[in-house]
Amino acid sequence: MKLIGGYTEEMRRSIDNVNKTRNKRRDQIIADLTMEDRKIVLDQFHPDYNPKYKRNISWGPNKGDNVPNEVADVLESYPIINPNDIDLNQIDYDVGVLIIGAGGAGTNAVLWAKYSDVPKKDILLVTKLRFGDCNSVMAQGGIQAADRLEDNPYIHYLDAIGGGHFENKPELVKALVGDAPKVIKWHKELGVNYDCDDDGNFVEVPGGGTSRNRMHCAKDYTGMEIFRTLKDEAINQGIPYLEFSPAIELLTDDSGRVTGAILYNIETKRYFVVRARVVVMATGGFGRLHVGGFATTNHYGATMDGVVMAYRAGAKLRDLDSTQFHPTGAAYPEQIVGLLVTEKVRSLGGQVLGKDGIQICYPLEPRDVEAASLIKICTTTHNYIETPTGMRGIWLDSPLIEELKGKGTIQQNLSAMYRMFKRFDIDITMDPILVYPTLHYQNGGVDLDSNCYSSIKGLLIAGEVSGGVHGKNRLMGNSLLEINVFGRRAGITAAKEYRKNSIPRKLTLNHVHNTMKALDALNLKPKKYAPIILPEYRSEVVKDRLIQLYEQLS
Amino acid sequence: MKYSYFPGCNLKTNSVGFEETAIAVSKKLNAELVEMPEWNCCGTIHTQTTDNLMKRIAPVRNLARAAEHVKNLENSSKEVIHKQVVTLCSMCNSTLKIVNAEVKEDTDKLEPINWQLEYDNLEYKGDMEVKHFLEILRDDIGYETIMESVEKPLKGMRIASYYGCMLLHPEIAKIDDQEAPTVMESIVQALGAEVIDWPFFKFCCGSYHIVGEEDLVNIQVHTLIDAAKKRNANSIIVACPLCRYNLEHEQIELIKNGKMKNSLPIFYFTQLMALALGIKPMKLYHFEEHLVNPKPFLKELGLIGRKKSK
Amino acid sequence: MSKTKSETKQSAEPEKVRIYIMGSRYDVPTGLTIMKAMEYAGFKITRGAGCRAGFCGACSTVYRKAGDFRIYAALACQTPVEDGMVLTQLPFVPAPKPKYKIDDLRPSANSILRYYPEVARCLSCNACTRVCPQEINVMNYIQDCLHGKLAKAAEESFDCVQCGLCTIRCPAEIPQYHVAMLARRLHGKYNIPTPKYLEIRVKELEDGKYEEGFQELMTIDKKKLKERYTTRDFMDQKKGGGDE
Repeated sequence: MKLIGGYTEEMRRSIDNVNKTRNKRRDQIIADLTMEDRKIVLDQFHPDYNPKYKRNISWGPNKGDNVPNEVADVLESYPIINPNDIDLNQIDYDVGVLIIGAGGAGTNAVLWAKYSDVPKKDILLVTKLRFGDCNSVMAQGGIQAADRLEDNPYIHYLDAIGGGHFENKPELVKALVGDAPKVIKWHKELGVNYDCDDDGNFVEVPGGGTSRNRMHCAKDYTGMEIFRTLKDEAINQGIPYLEFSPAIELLTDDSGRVTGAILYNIETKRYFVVRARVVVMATGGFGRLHVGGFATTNHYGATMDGVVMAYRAGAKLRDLDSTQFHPTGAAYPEQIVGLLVTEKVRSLGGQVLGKDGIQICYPLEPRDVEAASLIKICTTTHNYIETPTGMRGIWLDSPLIEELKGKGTIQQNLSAMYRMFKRFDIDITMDPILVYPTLHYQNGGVDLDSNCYSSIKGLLIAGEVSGGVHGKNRLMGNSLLEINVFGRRAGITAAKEYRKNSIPRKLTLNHVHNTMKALDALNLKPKKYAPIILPEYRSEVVKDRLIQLYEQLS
Repeated sequence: MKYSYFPGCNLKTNSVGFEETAIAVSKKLNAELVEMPEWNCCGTIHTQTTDNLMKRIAPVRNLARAAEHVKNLENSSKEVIHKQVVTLCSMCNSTLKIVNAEVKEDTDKLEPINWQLEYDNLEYKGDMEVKHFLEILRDDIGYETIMESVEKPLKGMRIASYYGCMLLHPEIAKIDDQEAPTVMESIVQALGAEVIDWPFFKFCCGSYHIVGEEDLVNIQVHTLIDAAKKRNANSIIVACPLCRYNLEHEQIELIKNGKMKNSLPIFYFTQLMALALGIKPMKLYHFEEHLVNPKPFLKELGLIGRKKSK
Repeated sequence: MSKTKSETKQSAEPEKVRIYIMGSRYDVPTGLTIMKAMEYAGFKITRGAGCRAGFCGACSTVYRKAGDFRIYAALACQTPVEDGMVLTQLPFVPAPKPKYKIDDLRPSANSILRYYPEVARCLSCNACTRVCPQEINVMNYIQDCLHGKLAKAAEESFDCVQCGLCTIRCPAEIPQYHVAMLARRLHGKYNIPTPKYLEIRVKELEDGKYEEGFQELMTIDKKKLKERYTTRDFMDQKKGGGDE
């Protein structure tokens, strides 16, 4: 296939339209949708509102909740261990605070537990892959904080709760927006390099659904810059951590209080028993479930493990009916389909265009509305662009940014995006980007209060694994904020619990036995197993011929 | 006139006063030192290695980059720029000169280095010359011009010029006669100060032995300072950050141990040139870098403004 | 374990390329990334995959191409396979990071040299730059650190994903990506000023200035809240209003 600057000849013809209309569009502003129109497009085109993607949960604390099939599958899965095989008498790690998940929220939690005077030997951070294999490092666009004089926390509150369709838990939104400036100040003290002018004033840009420019960013590596600094600091603080050792079940005592976890070393395949006075669950989201068959922006380990472990232990969930599809995932080239094209491209002025080069909607609607609008064009009109593999997409006019903000803006502010496409010979300063919505974020999750307590004793919650902060839809820049706000709060609460609680007397897997009993009664077929730990991407040709020789020995 | 200028690491960290006064002087004398946009360590740290190729990559890369810099300077300033790179630190000067001479003489040595540089779209054609700023002052500008530019003669200063080893050795890297150099003395004279003639002008300061055998350095410096004092010098000028450090640091040790009463101030020659040429502001001089504070001495001679004494 | 949907939407095209994964031959469809090609071949990756999008540095891969003596390096998730490629992933980079108290340091070359004295051993061979999948001028920022130019080092190293390829290649045994981390933190903490308005807002929040207003927002009925939302004013940005 002949490619010119990375695109096919047919795509080039449509790009000509984009180039031709650019001057006319330059200052053209397309109206955003009214609340009524938003509802219509969501009802018709957002996967959340499509009943064929969903069903009711059949057991447990949230029995009857309507959630995506893939989420229900996981919640209705059997444990991957036989609880009778596990020897709970030998404790491998006896600690005060166990933090599951070494992403943004977990790393915040260990730091603040340490700052709150938990001795480092009494903290243990465990994670599925490496320290820092998480969605936090992939967050490109920015982090919201209402710090400028013309902005204030109330406005941030309104933006967040309106974006979440007024379904967010108010105390969580208050915590989110109220802690935001403190988070940024702390980051500055740690040495995070936010974009700023010569006087240190932050460069703050808008995001979808925000009514002020309050997105603090570090080029388009914001999450990476924040996270690597936190990780550096956690290592400086000498906090012990275990990599490649995901938790696969929680442990409880007779009263149902969480008292530790079972870890599984995915390299050596042995398990470890951890006893802890308090457990923080910060395992992230579910992108790798590929809800609705969508590609995802998420990292390799985003398989909803934390939600299912907590659910089996009796924790209440909320808002899992809603899933965030990022409006602009890459739709071309094939190698990077589904990867994130940051919202910052639109924040900086990128417009969303059909095949004819005409704007199709206001580019900075809340994410669900924007995504639904794109799906609408691709499914009900002919104004989409088709790729050689049959995927449909919409143009995102990145070259317009250079016209609006000056030459070099893209390489300076969107260097990750520039580099990602350049690897496939596409120059986004010259040509538009083809996009289609992609599975981005788990809006709901384990219920929590503003001090990160879940509905069960001994278990704290922070980050994407939680539900309630964002209601039914999260705004750009509120997830990097969330991991910092609630990770910090979880660490502080964990320190309190650490001092309050005595060493747990009993470790059981009662709740796992109970889960199996409940599932047996439902007689579900085929049986599924979770936590999934890592998604399966091996090809059918190989999977059809797999045998597990070594595993059969035991 | 503009020159491509290679600073070296020390001039950016602990000898900022050397660099900033040199640049100010160069501008005033219309022979501006323009820093290379990208440069790396001169390579001196590796001159002891037996692996010849590795040893030479750093200096040759600098020479290749300097050649590009000269080209760019020529394009932007529309004047002829000498195919030269100018240094201030005598150690950098020596390293670059030695390697430059070696690869010019033997292109078989240059070729494998160019194979390495090729990855970075660089090639050294052996067409550059390495010059110390002292050579530029002597050969291109001339003592007369310097003398004419003096606004405030350094009256009362009796200066011993200290070359150290690296400005005169080895043969291939010398900037002046190895046994009877005159360049620093001529400049001292042009600035209106008194020239102190002494035989210790290249007596080793102890160099990098400061790291492992400080006692040895202490003896060297003691001998040097005593010799200068005996000949009635009241200050010493140097062209090397390490010489300056050793001379100052060991004087303090000597005083601490009761082996010496008063210290002699040590100056970079560019600091005194700047002073005589009336260059301001004072922060360019970075006297705070000096372990032996030279300010009281200069104040006493009326060469810098007198602040209220405490 | 449950099966999830395959990442690639299209079934494999018939056209294939031949690659060698750690020396063993596999025929895989053209156009796959190295990572997807390994999975196609049957590897279930545990080490060597993280974000799968070019941000985490877990999948650093070294390879040679047919008929080419050069050694290449790339991120497996961002690089398509080529016919004749001989490759291996780097599961781990042994480069422990020294501990320091950022509050006790100064933004200077000496702070860097105190923890990474090997920076002074840089030979200027530039092997680090050539191997960097992010196309960062690694040697230049190491030299900048040596010269105390932290702003330049922070800027140059900013896009580092800490994959560690530079460190593996360095003949002077410098852990460049750790050095860059320290340089960026020193620069961010000490050289970039903190805006006044941030301090003011933090103080206001600590003094409880917004408590009352929050209570009101949290308790008013949904209808009123919606009204406040829809009528909120937009600043800074141009807002829709045209008739397109």
